[in-house]
Amino acid sequence: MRNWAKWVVCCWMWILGGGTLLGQSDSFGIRFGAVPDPAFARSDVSFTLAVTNLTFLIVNDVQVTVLLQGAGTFRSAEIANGFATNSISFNGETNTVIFFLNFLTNSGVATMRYTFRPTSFGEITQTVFVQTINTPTQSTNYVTAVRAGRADLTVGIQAVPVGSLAGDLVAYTLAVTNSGPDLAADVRLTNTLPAGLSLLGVDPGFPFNQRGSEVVVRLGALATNQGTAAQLRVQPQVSGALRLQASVGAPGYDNPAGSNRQASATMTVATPGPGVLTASLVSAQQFNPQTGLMQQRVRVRNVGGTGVSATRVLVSGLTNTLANAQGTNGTTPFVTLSSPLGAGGAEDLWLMIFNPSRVPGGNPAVSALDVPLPGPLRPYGTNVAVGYPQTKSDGTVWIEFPTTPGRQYAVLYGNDVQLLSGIALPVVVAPANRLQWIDSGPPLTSSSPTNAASRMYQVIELTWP
Amino acid sequence: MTLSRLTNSVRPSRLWPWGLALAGCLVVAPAEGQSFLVRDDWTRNFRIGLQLAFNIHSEFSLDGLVSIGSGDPGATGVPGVNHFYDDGYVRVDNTGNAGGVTSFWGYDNASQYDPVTRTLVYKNTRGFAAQNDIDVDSGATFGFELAYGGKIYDWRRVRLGWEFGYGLLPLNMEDSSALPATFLRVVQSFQTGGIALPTAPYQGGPSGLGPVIPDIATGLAPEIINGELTGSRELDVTLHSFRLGPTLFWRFHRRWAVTGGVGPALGLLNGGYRYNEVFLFDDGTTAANSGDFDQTIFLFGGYASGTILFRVIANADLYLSAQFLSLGDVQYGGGGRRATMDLGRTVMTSIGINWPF
Repeated sequence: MRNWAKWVVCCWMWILGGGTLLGQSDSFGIRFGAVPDPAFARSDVSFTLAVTNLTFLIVNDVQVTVLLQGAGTFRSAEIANGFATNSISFNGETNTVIFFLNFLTNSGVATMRYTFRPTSFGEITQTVFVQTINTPTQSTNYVTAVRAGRADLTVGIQAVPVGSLAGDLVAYTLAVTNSGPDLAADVRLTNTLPAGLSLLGVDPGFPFNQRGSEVVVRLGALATNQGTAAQLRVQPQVSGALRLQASVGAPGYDNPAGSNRQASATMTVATPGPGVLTASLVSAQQFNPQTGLMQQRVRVRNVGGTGVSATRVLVSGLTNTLANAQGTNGTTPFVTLSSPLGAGGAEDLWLMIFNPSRVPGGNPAVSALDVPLPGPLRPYGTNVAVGYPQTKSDGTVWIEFPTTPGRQYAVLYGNDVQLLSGIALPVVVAPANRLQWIDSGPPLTSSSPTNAASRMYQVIELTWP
Repeated sequence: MTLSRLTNSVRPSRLWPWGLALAGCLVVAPAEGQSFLVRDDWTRNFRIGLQLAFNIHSEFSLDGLVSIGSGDPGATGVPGVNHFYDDGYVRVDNTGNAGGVTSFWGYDNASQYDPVTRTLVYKNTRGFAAQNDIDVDSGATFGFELAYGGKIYDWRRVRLGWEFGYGLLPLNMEDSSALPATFLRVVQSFQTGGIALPTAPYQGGPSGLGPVIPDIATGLAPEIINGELTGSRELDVTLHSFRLGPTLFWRFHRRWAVTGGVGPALGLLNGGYRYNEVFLFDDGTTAANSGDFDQTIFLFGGYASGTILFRVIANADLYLSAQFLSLGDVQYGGGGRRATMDLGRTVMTSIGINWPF
């Protein structure tokens, strides 16, 4: 063969080889873009592929294949000077988009655009193949994150108990709000329990799991501008300052406002004070047909040298329910005299016992402790119209209000309209369509109404907890 | 005494869309002048149409002492039994009325409490006497019908055939007349044990918590009191009618034909007698009373029908039919109440479309 013929053959082979004979590794440059990046579930994401011919010559019949993996729906594909097709795998998880281009000039750029709408958060994985008749197939992978949405979630710790002792069964509230803009699915509340605090349960019936000190409560979906709350029932095992920490999130959701998804609070668990107190029963149990309860009077005395701010009377040995219990320590219910008791002073309290046989049962054992003043608690709920209080000849004050059987009602009281004394515990579950609430003094209220200069009441039907 | 009502109490029929559809068909029907070949070589026909029924009557009557079965006032002088009254209740609570008292009690009016004797008085209406015999006409009642038929013999313009028909007819007739009545009430009382009563109306619960009263009823003299019986008594039934019989068809004009038929009919009635009454006593108190006598009833009878058909297009007729259906009387009620529905002279007209094929 003549030299010039060898030269022509060599050039032709070089053309067919797309220049690879010169040792160039990639025949095409690929630029990939996604808008928005990351993408969002249920919203379109636009992908752009720009393929550049890096060879020295024109290449013909360029095929760009995109294997797109991820749950969603293919929306559109377009290319200038070519055409595009799409196919979907039988399970709908893999979309194949194929772009055909008749030719691509040297250094020419072909831009391809396609749109996809992911249905769930996670990732979209794409493999792009560029091939021609006479060049090796070139492939590149791209991963695009898919967010579930944007949800501005915030958490707050509320109703942290005040004045509790180690062993008390107490509760606090974690309130979560979603300021949007999207509904947040699968909102998870993570609460880190400090050492010495045991979890007893989560209300109202949210599923939760505990791993070590971390408790994850699954709150479900939370719509935009909606809130919910979970109440954690806990039992402090030690006294001291216990730091409560909580955070909220929803897998796959961005936090657009960058708001604080964490909250913390301190629950102070007290130790009994130095006051020396005694408690003794001063009456037999008597059935009160007005309440349906057995009632028995107990007297506490401050026999120490210093006054105490509040007195807790522990009632043990009961075979029935202490209906006016304001709390439980371990398994022992108690009532609290929430007013100071000076040295040498004494105060009587009523124990209200629900005995289904309506006859006197065994006398309970009572003991008294010097404790910090509890509360005050402020409930969430709606106001209930109350009739004018009636003062009875025995010094009690009665109020009566309409109720819905089974709903909880709290009575706030105080010397003035500020009702600074807070809730008269316990909260009452209405047994009928009207409730007669009788202020007979401690432990329901801090003092007998006859000893108060004035007393005002407000009734709230509780919506939480 | 027999009273006749000038107005009927038929509920708006739910079948009016059929009427609209039929009217639509009439509007789009081709004009008389349009020509096509009318052939009576069909062997089967099917028709569907809107039905309008007349001449159905019901007679509502109250006779003698009408007993009231609901709300047992319970025995007097014994503990631990349930007592139900027009104006409250005293029931057994979750403690089994331990201590002879119950939290499961309620009363409706402050006037039931006598502060002198500290008792609550309850009343329970056991029956009433009212004279009522009223005839209610159903007026025009909408339904629909389906019919399927075939040819037995053919004399060209005259054909002998058969037809099976089904009709659905909802019927509602109501007597809502207010009647003077005399009521018999059982009266019982309970001690309140000296508690301060919650304001009426009060409905205590079974939990055992809340104010409790002794649970033994004391019987007082029964009370006869005049008053007014208001509310309603109604027959709310659905008539399914089935008929089967021979037909004679005569085409007397290129587009017009008539057909007639007679035969036995079967009726199936679903529903019953319902009452929802309020007693207004002369002492200003009230009581409610409701109940029903529901049943499914089969009726047998016969029918005669005549139909005129107009051929609209090659294979469809518009028809107008008149039918006399006799299924006899049907009676509902009990305990002094009675409602008799007369289905013996029912006249039905129907209009619709017939497809010969």
